[in-house]
Amino acid sequence: MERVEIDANLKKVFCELFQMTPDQINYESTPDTIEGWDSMAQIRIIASIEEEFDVVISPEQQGDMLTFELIGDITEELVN
Amino acid sequence: MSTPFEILGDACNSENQDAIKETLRQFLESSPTSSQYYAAHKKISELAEKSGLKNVKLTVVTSFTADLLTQPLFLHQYLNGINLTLQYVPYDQWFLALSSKGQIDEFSPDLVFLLLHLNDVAPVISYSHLMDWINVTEEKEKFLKSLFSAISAFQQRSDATVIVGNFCSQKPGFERYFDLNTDLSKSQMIEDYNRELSSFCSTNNNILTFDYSGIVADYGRASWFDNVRNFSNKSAISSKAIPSLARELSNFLNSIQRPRKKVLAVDFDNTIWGGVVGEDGPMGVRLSGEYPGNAYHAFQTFLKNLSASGILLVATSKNNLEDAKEVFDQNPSMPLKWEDFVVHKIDWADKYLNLKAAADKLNLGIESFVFIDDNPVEIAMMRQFSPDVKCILLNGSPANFQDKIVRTGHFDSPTLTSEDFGRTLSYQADKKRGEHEIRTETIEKFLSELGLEISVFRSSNQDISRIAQLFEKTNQFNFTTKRYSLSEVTEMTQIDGIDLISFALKDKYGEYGIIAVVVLKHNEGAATIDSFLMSCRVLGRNIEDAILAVIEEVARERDADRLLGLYSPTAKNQQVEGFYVSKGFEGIEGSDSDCMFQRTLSAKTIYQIPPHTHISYPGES
Repeated sequence: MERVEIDANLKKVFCELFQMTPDQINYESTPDTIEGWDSMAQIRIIASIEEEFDVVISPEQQGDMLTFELIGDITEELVN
Repeated sequence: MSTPFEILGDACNSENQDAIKETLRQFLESSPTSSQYYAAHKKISELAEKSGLKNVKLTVVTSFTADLLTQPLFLHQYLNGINLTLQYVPYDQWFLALSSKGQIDEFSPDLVFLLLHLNDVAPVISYSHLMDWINVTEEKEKFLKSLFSAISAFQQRSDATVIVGNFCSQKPGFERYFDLNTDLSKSQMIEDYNRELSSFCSTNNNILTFDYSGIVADYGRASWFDNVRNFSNKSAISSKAIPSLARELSNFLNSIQRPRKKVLAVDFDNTIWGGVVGEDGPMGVRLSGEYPGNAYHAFQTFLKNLSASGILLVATSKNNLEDAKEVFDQNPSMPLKWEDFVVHKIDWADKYLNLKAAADKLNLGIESFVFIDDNPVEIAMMRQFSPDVKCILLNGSPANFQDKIVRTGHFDSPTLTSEDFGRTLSYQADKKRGEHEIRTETIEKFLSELGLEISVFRSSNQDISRIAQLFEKTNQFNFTTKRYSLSEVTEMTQIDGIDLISFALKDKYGEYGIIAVVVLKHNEGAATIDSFLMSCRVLGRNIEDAILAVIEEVARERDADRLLGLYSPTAKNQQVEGFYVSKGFEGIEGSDSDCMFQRTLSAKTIYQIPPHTHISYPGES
């Protein structure tokens, strides 16, 4: 899967979870820049990505998912 | 094409309740992702605030993290007309939160859902039973003792109904083949846990066991648990499985919150047997042997068992009466007997008219009926002309008929009472009474020959669950239609200024069980009849006169100088409207919607026990 497509699907997940539009999200987005991205939301993000892309994210990878770009990197690794 | 999630979004913007419910139903069936659940919950919870749904508060107490339950559970409950508010107790605090006053008490829930994994609370049986077998039984006893004491302590402080999930073994380990062939069996031990749990729960009306292990098995144990997440962040149930738990829990909550349907109206041809009796003859219909006969046979057995659980069967078939009856009389493979049906409507009239007549005959509302038929035209017609009847189309293989009925949840109930078990018998006796009624010339003579015996119960050890059931279900002979819950009823038996009185009836044809309840509240010389309700099955026998005489007697024992009767009109209780006036009460000022009537008690007894009834007070000296 192309990175563009992965990013689009990830943005869809973020929009559903944080009630925002895709243009409000970029690679620099972090828990500090998105309201509501706390530890509980992190669990939802992980669960949603696993369901959306049919992948399994390990606790180690979870720990690294600290920005939208890193989330994309790890998802890309898992799906390809 | 739009996805169910997008269609739901559009429906929410339209704020059309029916459209939202329909699209929500489709959304929930489309296996949404966690983020879709989250977004849908966000939208719909805003609507729920405005839509005047019933508010229910639920506390979830688990030995692990289950926060993802919130969204799907809320959405399922919304479909059933409930605005659910959830509280979670942190997973390491379940014992403390139940056993001593604190966070749960502050939230003051209507319901508590308690779900513990043995992994978290009983490590020996979960991880080391073979090397530690000597401690397995001790662990079980110690743990269950603390669990039961925590629940009991909570119940001392709260009226909330407690729902306890039973225990299940998680992923089978290396013992999986030898486990059942040794004396040190893990699965047998877990069954022991569950046996003790069920028997503890069954001693208390306000604690219910929830078959969690059955739900895990239905889903598939291997994919239910998320072993890695359980270690990394205590999310023991996989995020994909959580919506299934939400759906089943919601169905269980519905069975508590919503009255069970009472009647199943059953078609004959191609529903309870294969073929058409008018063409195939009584011996030619498919009922046994090979498929599909064996499937129809099994379906009949299911209907019989359903009737044993308190659901009344009504026969509704477009046939010549003689033809239909011949199958029952001649075909030896019929599990159902003619008498298993409490009403027979076998003719060529429209079925909605026949069901209306059956409802009148049984003194039940048509909304308590479910109708099954293999013919889509009959189903469509019923929906059109009698929309309050729930219809189930039984098409396709007869092997699936049972599932189609079970899946609707219409006959779900969290418990069964002794009245449920005896209901069909009791209605069969009603039928004989009816025949008697026709033969007897005057109503007085009829009543005096019935040999009515009323037992009056006033102590605290009454059949609370049956009383609560009457509060929940009685619509017609019910003066105030107050829906006291199980816990409220229990509480009333303990309050000094309140008499909770229940009445059981029997006659020469059989026992009816508890058929009427009165709540009498005492305050400064006034005995107020707060609630007075009677099962519609016993109308027309002047039982209400006997009950009024008992009310007077109890009021006098409490030194009351007047009786106050309340009446709150509803769409269904017009028949009691003039009762108090006809008994010599005078109307006095009440609130706008409710009426209040008063009768002064002079020295002389006013209300006599009618001569055709006999009253006793079992358990009192």
